[in-house]
Amino acid sequence: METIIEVYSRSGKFLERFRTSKTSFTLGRAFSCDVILSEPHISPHHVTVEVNESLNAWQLTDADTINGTGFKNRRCHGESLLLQSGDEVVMGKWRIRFYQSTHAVTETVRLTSADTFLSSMGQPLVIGIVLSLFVIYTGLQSQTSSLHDSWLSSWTNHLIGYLIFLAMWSALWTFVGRVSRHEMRFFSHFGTTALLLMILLLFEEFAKWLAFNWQSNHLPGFVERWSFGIFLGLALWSNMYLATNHGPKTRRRFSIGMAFLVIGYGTVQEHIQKKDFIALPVYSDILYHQDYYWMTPTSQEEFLTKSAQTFETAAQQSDDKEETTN
Amino acid sequence: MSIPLKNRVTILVLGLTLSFSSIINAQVDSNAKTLFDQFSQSVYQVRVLEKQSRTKAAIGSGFFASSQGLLVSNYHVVAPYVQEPDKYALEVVNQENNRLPMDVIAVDVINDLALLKPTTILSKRLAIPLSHQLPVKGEEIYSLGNPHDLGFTVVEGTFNGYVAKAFYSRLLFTGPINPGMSGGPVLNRQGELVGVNVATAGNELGFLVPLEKIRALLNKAQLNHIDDFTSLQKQIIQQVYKNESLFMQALYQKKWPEKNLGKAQVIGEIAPFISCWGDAQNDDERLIKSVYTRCRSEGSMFLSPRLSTGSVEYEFHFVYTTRLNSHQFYQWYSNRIRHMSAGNRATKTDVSSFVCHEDIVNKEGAYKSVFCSRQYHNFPLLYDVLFVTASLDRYQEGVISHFALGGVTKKNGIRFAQDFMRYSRWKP
Repeated sequence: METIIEVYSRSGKFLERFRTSKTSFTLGRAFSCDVILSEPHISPHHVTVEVNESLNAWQLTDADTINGTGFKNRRCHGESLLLQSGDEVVMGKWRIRFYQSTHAVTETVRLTSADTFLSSMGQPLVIGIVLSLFVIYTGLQSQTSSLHDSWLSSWTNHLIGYLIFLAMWSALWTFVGRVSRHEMRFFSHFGTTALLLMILLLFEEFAKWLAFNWQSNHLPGFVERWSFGIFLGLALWSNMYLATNHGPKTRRRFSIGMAFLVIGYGTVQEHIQKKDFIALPVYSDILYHQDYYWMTPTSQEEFLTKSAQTFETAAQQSDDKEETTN
Repeated sequence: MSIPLKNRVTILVLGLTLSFSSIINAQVDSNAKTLFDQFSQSVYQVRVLEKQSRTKAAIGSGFFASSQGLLVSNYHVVAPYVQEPDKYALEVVNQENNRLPMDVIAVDVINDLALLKPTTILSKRLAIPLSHQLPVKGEEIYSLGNPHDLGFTVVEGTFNGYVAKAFYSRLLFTGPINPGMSGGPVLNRQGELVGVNVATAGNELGFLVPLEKIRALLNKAQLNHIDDFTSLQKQIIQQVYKNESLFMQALYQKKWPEKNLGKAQVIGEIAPFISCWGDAQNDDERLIKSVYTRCRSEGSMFLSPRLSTGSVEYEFHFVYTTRLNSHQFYQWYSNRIRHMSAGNRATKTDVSSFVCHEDIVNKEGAYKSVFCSRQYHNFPLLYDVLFVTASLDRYQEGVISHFALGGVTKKNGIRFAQDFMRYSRWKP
């Protein structure tokens, strides 16, 4: 029986792997050991392992070491333990796992389309396209909203603002990736986040136009909350996919959780504000030229008929108030 | 929306926190001295006291004007007591500092008058007789009262007839009347009552409730046995409803005059008591130029320190640009319809929040239109109505029209909106 010994750090990072076909071997810091583990908290001759063919297991004996050998949340000094294939013991700060060479390995993970997509987002061509979109978008935005003869300064301000945000966000996740995964992937972070932000910005403009066409005062706020929530969820999911060691479940939970936290906070906030008395009327102030209005304008008569219904609603509100004060 | 300073009228009730520095130069001639000696026993300081602290919440003046021992003052002086009799007490104090607890038996909220009656039976008081006619313009008249809680004074001034543009009828008095003198009598040379102090616009411009309004209220009190008066709140509701219908009728006395505002055609002064002001911001360096006109009715009906009503205001803005593109223009234009507010004062305790309906209305082009209303808690037939409309059919120019009506019925609110929409448009 061949024995495979895997060494992991305390945080679960894989360090080394040894293979031996001996029926008896030693583990420790001493150079005379069969498996040398250079970790200061491990004793020079820490454990002796005997293969027990009949039980299809290993008999591990701690040499009454200073820090002992941990097994199943218990610390042993000078005891013998019986290990099955796949069992793990703790020596010093390291975790040692024992496998038989016949032990089954986990199934192959298929490369997902997400992985291909996120990797391609780091390509220079894609980054170039996304950046040009930002240049065009901020240019249009400045030209339509800045109230100056020259909209160039507004343009550069907007563009630099977005770029600083994207660079800092990506740098933060690159750092996270460097720490936990030992890979940077700055451009993938940058490309993905920039694309998502672009979609968010365009969608909000679209929502404004929709609100103008539907004459809805609530739509922009509603869309703003949800689209921002969705943007944040997707961005976090991608950033985590690229930077952290979390499994798909944790990743999904975290990103959806954060998204709903943001949406929920906004909704609660709006609900609280709604309860208060407002001396000023609340209505939508989005104005576009009539070319942008794609619905049929209402007639004056119909407008006034519907306006008359505000009296009933106001009276209803008055009654509700009296009921609560009485 | 700001009002030109000279239109601003201060009601003469004195709050607790008021401080002052000006000295009132009352020129007391021999006539004034005689009047003062003669009537100083009839003029009182009216105090609204907060019950728990027994301190003055508001003060004004008042005077005995009938042999039945009825004291006349302004409604706005006693309003806190009328609105919240559990919280406030009412008393009057004469020069000798004798206090008399009072009750309010009748009010005229339209003309800002109140009749007070002592809660205890009194020995006969000297009543100020009512004049049979108003003085001639330019005649000297004398205003009595207790300005700023400083003591009783007599102020000599000039009678200047009726205020020309007023729905709420007022006499114009040129002479320094000050907060605290509200409700005090104004006498002619013969010592007869011609009016009651009610408001000041500063700079020796004072306003009086005319004689006939006081006479009417006293007559009404004499016709009905005093104890028969329906409860004050009912009186107030009836008067407010009556005023609404009179006010709205007055807005429809003549065909609304149209006038030009840049490329737009709007309405001017639709009733004699409405005055319009306007200006243009069209210097060459401006990116967006505008011409505007703002019109409002003079005065309003005081119902409580928190609520005034019975007024209308409307404004029109013609805005245009040659230097900005259409998108920039519309971005700026959006800001201009934001934050439209009601013209009258009202709070949570008096009205509901505004409920709005908004849509794009077709009127030889598309117009963004918003109609909002809020109901009065104590006058359920009345609403404040607010309306805004902005043209959307031109690329680099637009016209914004706005009106706010204080305290109207549903029918009148809709009717006014309908006519207002018809009248504000582009020049043909």
